[in-house]
Amino acid sequence: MLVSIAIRILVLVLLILPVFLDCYTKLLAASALTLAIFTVSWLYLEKDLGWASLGHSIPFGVSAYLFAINPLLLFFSPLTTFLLFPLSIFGKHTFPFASFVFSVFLWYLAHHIVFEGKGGEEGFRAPSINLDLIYLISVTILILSCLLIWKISNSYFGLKVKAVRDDEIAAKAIGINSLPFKVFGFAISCSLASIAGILHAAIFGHVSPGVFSPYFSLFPFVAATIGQGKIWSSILGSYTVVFLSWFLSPYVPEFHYAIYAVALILASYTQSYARSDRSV
Amino acid sequence: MVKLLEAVEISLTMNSKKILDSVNLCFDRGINLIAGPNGSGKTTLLKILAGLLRPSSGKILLDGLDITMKKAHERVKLGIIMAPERMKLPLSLTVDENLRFCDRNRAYEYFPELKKISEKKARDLSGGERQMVILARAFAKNSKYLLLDEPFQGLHEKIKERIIKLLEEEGRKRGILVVTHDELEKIFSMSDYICVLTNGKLLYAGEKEGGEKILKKFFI
Repeated sequence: MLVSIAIRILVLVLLILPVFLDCYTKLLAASALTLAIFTVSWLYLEKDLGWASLGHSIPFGVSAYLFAINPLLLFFSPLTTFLLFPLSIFGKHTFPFASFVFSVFLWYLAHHIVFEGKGGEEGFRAPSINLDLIYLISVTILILSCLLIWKISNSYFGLKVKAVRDDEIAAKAIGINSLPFKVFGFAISCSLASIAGILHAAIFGHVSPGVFSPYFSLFPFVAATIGQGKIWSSILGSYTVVFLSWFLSPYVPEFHYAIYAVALILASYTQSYARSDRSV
Repeated sequence: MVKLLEAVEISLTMNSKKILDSVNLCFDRGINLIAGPNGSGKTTLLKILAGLLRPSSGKILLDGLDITMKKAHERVKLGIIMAPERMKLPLSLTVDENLRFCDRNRAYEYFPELKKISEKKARDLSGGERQMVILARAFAKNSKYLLLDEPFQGLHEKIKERIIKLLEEEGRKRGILVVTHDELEKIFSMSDYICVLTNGKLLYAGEKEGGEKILKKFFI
């Protein structure tokens, strides 16, 4: 209980502190913040619906690209659900692999996207928004995302979603049609990941094929593993990955891959979090 | 007279093995016992009636209406509810949350002992407790037909007695199909309709009196 409160306080401090810090640290914090929203979106899909995506960069990256090509296209970003959801046809066990392969395919494809002479390996320039404003928007969205997920998770609707996740046949036997619940769950998760992608593009004012890279595909899984599948701890996990990579990359280039490797090893020990209860 | 629930020429083949072979049955209100040795297709038949499995051929009729293509959740709305065997429950939900899918007060009336464990997660329950939740949920939901697969599995003798009484009461209001190996004699004595399956084929279907010899010879 004390640890849980301490984590919440630490997250709140991490959200407020950058407002008083220099521009570069704020940029880094904003990046961690968008990736925290990304992690929360992944966690909802994994915990409440039972689908562990290793290709969550699909809604994240596609929305970032749409926003960079034309900001008005951001309204189409929830449609990225229909890029990820069809992969559920492979079943829960193959879905992580299928989604990862698809995200790698998009990574390759993004190198060849050229629009009005721009794009390709260099990517696109995205509309840049004032950093203070975007930071404030990101904090608000992160808090709203957590509240939304908590609200859905504790509603009658959320109960049905969990019943479908636990045992689809048992859910059918009590009269629950699993398909709309699955589609809705994917839509919520993909929409949040899309928002994170758009914010990411707006913060850096640039989108490159790297948004589909394994760094982003695996990021929420790594952050959630560090956070043992709990929302607040996973937000902290996102900050840990971003800041640790930043601090240590001058000494160990591409240090995040070391964190990823450790998280992958730890995942087998912390797998039980998938069956534990959500604790916000 | 139109029977409530009918299985017409139901066959099911899986992996080129015939699980059910042209089964014809008519169920009405009251207790309907489906008996037969292990692997005779009893549970499969219940799953087909509940919409959890689709037959290779044949029809399911409810009040004369063809519901063969209706999915399980649509059949629940039409009043066919199945209480599956082997502890099929959403395990991360508490007992109370599981009972939110039916009339909770009625469920607690049927099984007051569930109140004490209402905040326990289904995964932490014993086999008997899980079975009680499944039965409470099935009985406390309004239905025309209740399909019970091994309802006495893992239950204490006292609870078994209570369920037998409950079956007697509820059998007057709706149709109840029971597949069981436990308490077979008691269920047989209170049944209105008996059907016996062997190797996926219907050996007997009809009044209790006619089926007594067959049932006693093979199973009781």
